[in-house]
Amino acid sequence: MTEIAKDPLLPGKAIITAIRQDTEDIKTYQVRDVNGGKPFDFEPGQCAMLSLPPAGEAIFSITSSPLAEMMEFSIKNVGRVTSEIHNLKVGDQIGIRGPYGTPFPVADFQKDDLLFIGGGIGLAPLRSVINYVLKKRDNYGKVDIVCGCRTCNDFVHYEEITEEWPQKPETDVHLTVDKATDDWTGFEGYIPDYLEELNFSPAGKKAIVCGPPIMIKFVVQQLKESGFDPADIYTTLELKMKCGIGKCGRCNIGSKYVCKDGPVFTAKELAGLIETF
Amino acid sequence: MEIITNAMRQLAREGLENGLDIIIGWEDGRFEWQSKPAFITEINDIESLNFNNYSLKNLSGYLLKKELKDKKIGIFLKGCDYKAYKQLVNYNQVDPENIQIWGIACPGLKERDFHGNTSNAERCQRCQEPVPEELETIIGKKEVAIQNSPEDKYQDVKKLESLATDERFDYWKDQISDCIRCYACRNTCPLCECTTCMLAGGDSNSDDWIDSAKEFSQDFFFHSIRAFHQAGRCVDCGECEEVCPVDIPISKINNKIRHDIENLYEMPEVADDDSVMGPLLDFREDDPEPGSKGGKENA
Amino acid sequence: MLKLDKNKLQDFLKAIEEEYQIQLPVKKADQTDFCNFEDTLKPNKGLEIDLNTRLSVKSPKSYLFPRSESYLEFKKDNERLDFKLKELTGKANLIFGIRNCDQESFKILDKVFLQEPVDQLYKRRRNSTITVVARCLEQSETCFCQLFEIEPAGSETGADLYYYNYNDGLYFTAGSDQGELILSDYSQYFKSVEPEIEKKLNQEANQFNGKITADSDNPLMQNKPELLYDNKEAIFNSDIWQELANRCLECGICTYLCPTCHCYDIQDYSADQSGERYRCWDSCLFSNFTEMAHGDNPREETYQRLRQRFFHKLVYFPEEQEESLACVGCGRCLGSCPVNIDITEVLALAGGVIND
Repeated sequence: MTEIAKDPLLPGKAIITAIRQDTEDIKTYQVRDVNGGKPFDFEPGQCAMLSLPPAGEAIFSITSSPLAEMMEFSIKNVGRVTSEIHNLKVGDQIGIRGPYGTPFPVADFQKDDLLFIGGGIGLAPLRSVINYVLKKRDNYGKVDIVCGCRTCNDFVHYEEITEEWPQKPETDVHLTVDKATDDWTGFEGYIPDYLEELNFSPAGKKAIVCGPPIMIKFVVQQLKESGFDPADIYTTLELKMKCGIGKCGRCNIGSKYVCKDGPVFTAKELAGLIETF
Repeated sequence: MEIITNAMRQLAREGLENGLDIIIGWEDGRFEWQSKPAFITEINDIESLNFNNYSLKNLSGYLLKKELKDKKIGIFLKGCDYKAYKQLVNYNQVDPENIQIWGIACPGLKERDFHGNTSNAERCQRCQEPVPEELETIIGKKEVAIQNSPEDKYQDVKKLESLATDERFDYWKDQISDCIRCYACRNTCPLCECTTCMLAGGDSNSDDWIDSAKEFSQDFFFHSIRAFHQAGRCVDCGECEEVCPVDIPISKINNKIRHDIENLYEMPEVADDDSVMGPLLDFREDDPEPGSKGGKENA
Repeated sequence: MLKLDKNKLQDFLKAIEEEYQIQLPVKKADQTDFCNFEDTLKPNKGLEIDLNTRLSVKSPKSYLFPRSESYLEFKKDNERLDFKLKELTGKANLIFGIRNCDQESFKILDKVFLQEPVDQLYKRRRNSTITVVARCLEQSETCFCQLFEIEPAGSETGADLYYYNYNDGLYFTAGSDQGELILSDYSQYFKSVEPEIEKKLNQEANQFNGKITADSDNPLMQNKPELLYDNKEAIFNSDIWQELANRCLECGICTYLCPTCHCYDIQDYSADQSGERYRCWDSCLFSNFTEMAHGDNPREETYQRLRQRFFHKLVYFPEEQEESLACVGCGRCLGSCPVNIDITEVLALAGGVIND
């Protein structure tokens, strides 16, 4: 009776082309479309809705840089959809739609020094920006990457962050764990304590923070106390999302929708919201 | 009503003065046909307490709210409300040590339908215990309390029971097809106290049992399974039917099961203590066999 | 203006039934709600057309945004996974006897669903649905549409047809080209109207449209609907939300009956290797609405969710949508909430906070 136009809720098809077990409960999936390329173009920090019926759909940050020729997701096994994803094999097909969300404003970051702070799986969305910046290295200033996890077995993309990133010019990686084992030679302590130790100057710097909500809260507080302008602190908000297109109402906070106006917000924007979590 | 209201205010005042943290009663709404639950913590607010013709709401369900845990509570309960309270005590859902109850001899109340017509509340026409006789303090006059014959107890289900099975199913198919799965019946029921409901659907852990879709099989499943879960608990306080926005006669489903339990099993409707559990929780060797039509009447 | 004799109504509806699936207010037992016209013709169902009751139990939003709507079919075959969008089948809807509050609510739903990216499921129903508005020349005690600047006696455009219910006839005007077409295609059912009657009805309408704003006695119209928008912080941080939360049952009645509420969930249903994905109504008041997979729930307390619902309607939605408030004053929340929480009470409590 009526013509079927392409509905924004209709997933496209994608194929799992590689799976790597990063930690006990995190796997990184390489995803391509049926022609071998990226399922769609996107910008650093954006997300995609992965579809695994009948378990359902869930939204994930795209962890690969948009300059890569495939897409990667680092997925932690926490619920119904993610546990189904953890049962997937190479060659399995999944549904995918996107890109959703506002990206990190990489154009605005040019010429700035960048301080990335990732807690646990929070490194996943940051990696998209980091790899983009490291590929276009000359456009950006000094890069410092602080990663913290519970133990040394919980780092995602461990080889990349310990072997590839420190090799890049003007790029330092600083690792910390909450609880060290005997062979750990790095810092032991929570990220805010490590930041205090590292004592970064805010001058000419943008801070980009992602991790568990409680970590973001303390880190942002600490950065502000060190003199960072809230408009220069970028972070991500996490809320349950279903449609990804700002209509189902689930991720509504203030007059914003995390799926559409976020997940990237500056600390200044978050402070302007009447509701805080 | 004035007698009851005045007594409520007096008891609430004394209660707060003697160390109660919160009083749960009723107060007027904006319209004459409204009566809403009131939660009083200050003596200054006592005057808002009011019992009117529409104070149907069973307040015992509020005792389950987690904000009230460990608080010293004073609560007003009509006969029907008190039966639900007793079940809550039997099932260990409330701690009677912290709860001061005042009973109300209920004269029978009114309800307002969708078109704005008011009438005597249907559930009051079958009520057998308007006065919570066991309680120490009962306000209102017992002589004025509504009197129904025991014949009235299952009057709402007798007509349905006389129909053939397929006629009954057609009736329920028609009624339940209106269901919008708002879950008000479940949420208002004082005896539906599971913190994780197996009939919730959505992303809850129960999604293997039931769907959120508008589909007769799903809605029918919801109503029938909830009624079975309430078997032995439901006291016909009538809340479920009262709150339903699309007028599904939910009480009939529960009352049918109550009628069957009365016929098939020898157990009181509301036990005096937790030594007697409903038929779903209790097994006895002389229980009727499944499929048999035993008991006092042909169920 | 054209007149349809009431005793010709059924014939007219039977005629246009060829083209449209007609829904209209029908009395069933003690309630009035929208039902299929064809069901009223079935002898034993006991359904009669009711054009007098002002409000239907549920808003007719379900004809644009159904209670649940299966939109996708999926099929798994070893590693293969295929998706297919479902087609919309059947005749277009014609909603007969919708009140202007519900008609105006469609504008609010349009702002959500027709904003980019356009929701095609909604759009295909919206574009094909015909609405016939019953103009109100009276209000019931629970109505407060005028508080939200909605004219109960209707306007000139917006719906396809408008009618007055007067004595033995229904007096129609067209609000759109589609409406004009219906009046001309089925002209054999309509008669011309004496100018005096047309004038009288329009006059009554104008008087009624202006009346209630001037009527300051109406207890439902005492507080400005912009109260929350103009005093966000004070009202957000006040304890009125806990006061309401004390008695709120966290059910879906207000949300599901409300013409402007539109939150939805997406779920999959499967039978072995194939199945369907559907969307269905959801309520921000349900305890697990914002619960995340790892167990965190930012709005765990009832008062947070209650506050979210009213702030969304009266603050966040207008912030996002050019000051349009997401309420049409239909009064359904007032009539149906089991514990008497409604938007006018929220405004009254908010007014109390500001005046203190």
